[in-house]
Amino acid sequence: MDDDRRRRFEAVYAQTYEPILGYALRRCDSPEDAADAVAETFAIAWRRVDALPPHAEARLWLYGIARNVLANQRRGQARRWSRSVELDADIADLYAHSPEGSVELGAIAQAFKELHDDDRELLSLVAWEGLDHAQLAKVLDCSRNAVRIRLHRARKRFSKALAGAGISVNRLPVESR
Amino acid sequence: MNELSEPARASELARVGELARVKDEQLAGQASGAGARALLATIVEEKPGLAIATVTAAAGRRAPRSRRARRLFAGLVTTAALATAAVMGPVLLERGAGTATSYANAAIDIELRGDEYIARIKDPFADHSLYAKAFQAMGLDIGMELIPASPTRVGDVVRYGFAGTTEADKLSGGLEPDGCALGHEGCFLAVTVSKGFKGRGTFYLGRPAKPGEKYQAQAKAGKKGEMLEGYDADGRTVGKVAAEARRRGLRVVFRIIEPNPDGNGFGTIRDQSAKVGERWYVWAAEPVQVGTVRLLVTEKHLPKNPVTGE
Repeated sequence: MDDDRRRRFEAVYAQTYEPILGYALRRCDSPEDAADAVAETFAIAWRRVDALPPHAEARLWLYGIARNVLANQRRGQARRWSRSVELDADIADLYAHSPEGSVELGAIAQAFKELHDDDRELLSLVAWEGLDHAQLAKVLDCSRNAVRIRLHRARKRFSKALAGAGISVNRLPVESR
Repeated sequence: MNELSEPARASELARVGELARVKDEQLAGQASGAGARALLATIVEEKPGLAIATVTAAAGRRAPRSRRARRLFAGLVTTAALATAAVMGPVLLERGAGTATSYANAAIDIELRGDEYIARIKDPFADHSLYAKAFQAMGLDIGMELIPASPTRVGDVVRYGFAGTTEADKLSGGLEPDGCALGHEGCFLAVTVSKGFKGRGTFYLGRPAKPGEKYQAQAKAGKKGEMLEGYDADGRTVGKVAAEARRRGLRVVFRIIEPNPDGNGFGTIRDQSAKVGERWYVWAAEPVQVGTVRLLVTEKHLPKNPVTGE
């Protein structure tokens, strides 16, 4: 029975480690916090392995957990993990490679940072994790209709913030890499 | 997803996308890396349901709350500041605030007025270290980079960086008095820093460009005060726009773009060697440097402008 659970968990871990790592990296401003968030998210998932949904939905379920983990981190209630040096090293490397943004990007980042947490998370889940309305509803545990309305409002507020910061929307060339 | 492809707002989501520190694709292979394997091994060592014991045991190592909170607010998405923060970090936090209320050197004047420091830049072309020195004398860890900007972006703070700051630590900047023309007497580039600013702050402030220097921040070329003032190039043919630019004595350069497959946003095509014809279409005109304008062009006409989304 335990072997069964373990195999299931390991399969999900292999499939979702990268998206969950990405989720944490994009939201944490230090490698330590990102490493903690990834570790804590999967530790919770292991604890609740019996509730682990099937493959396609596991990622969304884990986003939901990661979201709570980060909220706790922000409230200063995070657990500090005794992490492995290997994990710390891998994640520190990923931060070291962060590219310098374009000059205008900082102003956009500032406007984004000033949004309400809920708005920011909603926009991030769409723009960074590429979730659609149905998936958002799963992660945020609300109706699709609620998602639609909240997203609409969040986008409006962010557009307004950008305009307020003097950033003309859609002006920055999206260079192909 | 239909609601998301609505053109008028498609772009602010693209903006959010640009802020991502990494994309998941860039993480390919991480799951089989040493870090991921070590973590997995630690987690599944415990019986399911017991993992919490390990976690709690480690909890005593948590950094003091205030410090953690500060770090988390230090610009969740200001990636640019990270590298600096890693190097400068804790040392600067310990240094504490200076007691001076004013300081001046050849490049900059700083004065404490009420709840904020006001810094006037006397020489926007000075060595950046002179600005930093002045802030240091006030007990502030502020970096300032003045970057060449097209005329209407002069005085804009085009980017901020924060590291080790809290929400109480504020930066702002612009022209003083507001809207004045740099080069006229009594008009300065100026920035303000909140009293007691902790951590490191960085300004990137638009300054006039020197001849031949490329702008690092620019407005639309057609904007009032820019080189194609009053002329809307978007959607016109290259022949027409280039003629207008020549009439104004401007040099024209091109960037060939292609719209993204979903019609929102665009990319620059890799091969820029094609000869741009008079009948190609212009979707945006950007100042490059004094006297040079860049046209973003496609060969075929497009149903909507990929640059503005209109």
